[in-house]
Amino acid sequence: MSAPLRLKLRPKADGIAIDAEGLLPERLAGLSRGEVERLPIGTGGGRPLLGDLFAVSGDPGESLDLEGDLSGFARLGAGMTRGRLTLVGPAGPCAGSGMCGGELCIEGPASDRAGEGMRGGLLRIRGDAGDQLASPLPGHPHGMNRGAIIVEGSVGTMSATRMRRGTIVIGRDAAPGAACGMLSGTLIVLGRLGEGAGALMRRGTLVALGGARPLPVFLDAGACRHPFLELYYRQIEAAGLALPPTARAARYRRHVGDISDLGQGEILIPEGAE
Amino acid sequence: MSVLLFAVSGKELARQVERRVGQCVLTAPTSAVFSGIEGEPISLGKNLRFFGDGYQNSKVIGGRRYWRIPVMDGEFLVEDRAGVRKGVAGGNFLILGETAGAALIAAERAVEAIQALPGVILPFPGGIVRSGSKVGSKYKKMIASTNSAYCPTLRRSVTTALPEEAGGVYEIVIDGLGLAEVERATAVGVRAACGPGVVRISAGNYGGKLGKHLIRLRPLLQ
Repeated sequence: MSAPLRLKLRPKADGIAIDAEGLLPERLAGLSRGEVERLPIGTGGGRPLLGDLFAVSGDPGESLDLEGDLSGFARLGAGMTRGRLTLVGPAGPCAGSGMCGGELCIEGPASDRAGEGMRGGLLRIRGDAGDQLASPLPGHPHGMNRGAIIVEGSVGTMSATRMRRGTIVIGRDAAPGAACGMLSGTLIVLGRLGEGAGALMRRGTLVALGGARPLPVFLDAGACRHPFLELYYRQIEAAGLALPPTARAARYRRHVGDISDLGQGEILIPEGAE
Repeated sequence: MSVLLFAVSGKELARQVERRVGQCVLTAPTSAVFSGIEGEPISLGKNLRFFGDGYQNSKVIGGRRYWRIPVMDGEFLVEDRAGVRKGVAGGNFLILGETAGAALIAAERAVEAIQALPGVILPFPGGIVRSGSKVGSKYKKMIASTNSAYCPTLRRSVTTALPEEAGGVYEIVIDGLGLAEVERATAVGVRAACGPGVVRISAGNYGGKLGKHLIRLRPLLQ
């Protein structure tokens, strides 16, 4: 069995800023290693070749590993439809933009707008994520529409804006403004959900296991148990994230809103975590 | 708790599943319903959700859709679809006892042993059938009628299958996910039934005319 294709960033390429759209396992599969090295990357004239920026090893196939400080590489994994792309190191802005299948795993932090306009597949970020996680593509009315995002660390402001479908799990805290204008879908925050979450949301579910202070446009609908959460918790644990010890035993206080809009969204907070 | 439901056709099964889950599970405190087997999908929560009167909502978790329906004790959680596949129904054996009481005690032992097995159910109440049937009847509209050869009171009226010392018969009927499951359950049940007061173990084979599968007891136990 051959080793997966591995591209290791050369020291001279550190700090380079480039649009890396198209650097996908599905595009490279079927090419020889030499052909991979001769592929241009980025946009415009004078584009560098992959072999100039990366040391190439392994054989192209359904998996591709990129290694190095990729914080200057924008749109890594953009438009991905299948296969597995692993980034060992920090990822630049818009990682996984518009992806609709496959698995993109970032073994480090991700910059802003990761998973923007996502339509399927799995985006996993082992570190923190920047602002506007899973935001809409520029000019689009909806944000994430299917798929799953797991962030093991914290996320920046305005995550899951106008989310339409899918599931996002945040391992630690979510900064203010999460799920604004949410249309549907689920955002589970194992830490604390920041201020202003769910403003103008129509439907959908926010779960704040570490507590939250809902806006006044969310009405307290009392506490009860929600059996569907157990299904999520099994998936979260299967993904290797640890739940707070009280997550299963607690009753959840349900805040419904945003009543200045459709008002069918909900924020679930375990009792005692408010 | 897991439940297997059997019907003569997929269409009928789909109708019955929806009706019975709506009547018997949705109504039960703290219940939730999930599909336990993979197979041809039929509606489960897909239509039951309308009981939520617009307040229901769905979640797709792990690629499967679930419906959350608000009810008076919180939420009823039901999977959108259930899996259906072809099974084997109507596997059976007969326990001939010296008395009806002895046959009943043996049948209860068999039921207890079979109920511990996966992939099979005993579709009749308590798992024991006293009104075994034969194919056909003297009445045209009846497709099945009492198994007269095993009725003690008809011993002198029809050609009987009962030995002289048999005073009562009970039937165990087994439905399963496949032939192997039914065969295994039959073997386990027969072994458990054998004991004091049991004269003979037999089975209804309906002249070999009913169903695709024929389970022979002797090879099963050897």
